[in-house]
Amino acid sequence: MRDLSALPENAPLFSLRGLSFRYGRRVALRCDSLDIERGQAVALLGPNGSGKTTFLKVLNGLLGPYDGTLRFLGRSPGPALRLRSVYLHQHPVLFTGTVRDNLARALSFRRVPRGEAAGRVQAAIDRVGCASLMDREASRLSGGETQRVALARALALGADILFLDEPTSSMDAASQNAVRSVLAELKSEGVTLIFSTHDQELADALADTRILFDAGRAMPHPHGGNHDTSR
Amino acid sequence: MDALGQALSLLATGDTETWWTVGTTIRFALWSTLFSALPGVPLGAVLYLGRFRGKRALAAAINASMAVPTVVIGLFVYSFISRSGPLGFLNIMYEPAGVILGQSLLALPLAAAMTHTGLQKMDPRYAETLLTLGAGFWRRLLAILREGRFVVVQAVLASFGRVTGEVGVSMMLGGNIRWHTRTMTTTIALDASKGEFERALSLGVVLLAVALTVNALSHLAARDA
Repeated sequence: MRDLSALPENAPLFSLRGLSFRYGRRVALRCDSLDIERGQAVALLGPNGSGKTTFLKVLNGLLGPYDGTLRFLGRSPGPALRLRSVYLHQHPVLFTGTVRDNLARALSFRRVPRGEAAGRVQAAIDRVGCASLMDREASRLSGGETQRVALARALALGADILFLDEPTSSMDAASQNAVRSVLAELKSEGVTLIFSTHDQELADALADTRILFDAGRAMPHPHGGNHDTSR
Repeated sequence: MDALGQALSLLATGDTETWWTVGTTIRFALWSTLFSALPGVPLGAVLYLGRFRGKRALAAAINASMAVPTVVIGLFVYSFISRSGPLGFLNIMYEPAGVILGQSLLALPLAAAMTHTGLQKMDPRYAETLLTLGAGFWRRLLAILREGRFVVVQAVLASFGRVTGEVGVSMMLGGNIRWHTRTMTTTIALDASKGEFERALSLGVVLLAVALTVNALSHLAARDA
């Protein structure tokens, strides 16, 4: 799943030109020009309602249509992007059943054989430190546990690209640290991480690139340095 | 009051014809609910999940067809299954199968519309999550119906309630034939026209009980959702 070699070598992972998205008449997102390279960790920073979630959803194909150009490896985003990426909501939803059922069902969506799926489910849940939750009903998990299980579900799928909407927002300090270290590992494995956050530590620890959002306008951070996310 | 007393007595003493009529009505309603829900519920889910040209027009047409009077549905089906109609060879006119066909067509738009509007009230993150996890269309459809099972229960109950209480289709396609196609509503219409209110009232009581039960179950499903 993590082999991108068949796709154009030189093209940016994502290339946006004159992109804008509207909810009705209201422009919710504008981006003049932006490239995101493969393997990067990109932090989306800005106040609530500034367009970070919309940006993630447009990139992942959950929102559309949009004006302007969005290219994935030089092409229109299509099934290739869908199969290589997962979007995690700020408050993810899990389906009816146990945690194990949730992970196994996600793998069945991508037609992973059952024999292989069991191992991937276990490895993913171990990785986020939630092995003890494996047979718990998903509906009984706390917000932080749900976020970690949803992350495990994405990991089990082996996605190249993760879109994460405030991935540590509902977690206690210990869980935040655990998730930060998992994301750091993923980054070192070449997974592209595009995440919105108000968590300065997370941005400092992971981000290669920062994109600032203000009233729907996305602007690459001029210096890539620290940025006050507490607004 | 006398008539009501006699009506309740018909029910309490297990009057054969009264209870046969109740049983026939329920049997027809169960089959037609099944045959309307089988295409109607998935159709509602397709309207919810699908992105296709004409989706709004289709949803509007389905909503509009809920308002078609039962006798018009009856007339429409009659033109197909009567002896001279294109489906006349099936010989289902004035047969239970004819009534069930008409009732199924009557309830189909209700099952579809209620599923569609019910799913629209669900948290949109379910559909987004299924999409981002890479589920194909039909897997998303099955999964969303599983998560929205209370919506499905409500749609099915509403369809059942609709066909149990209709009279136009049963009258036109069943012919109100005693011990064959006579239902609660057609019996009420016939007996009341003859001025014989005892059985009509007893069946009215049963219809009321069915309606209240369906309503209570529907509320339970909504609460659990």
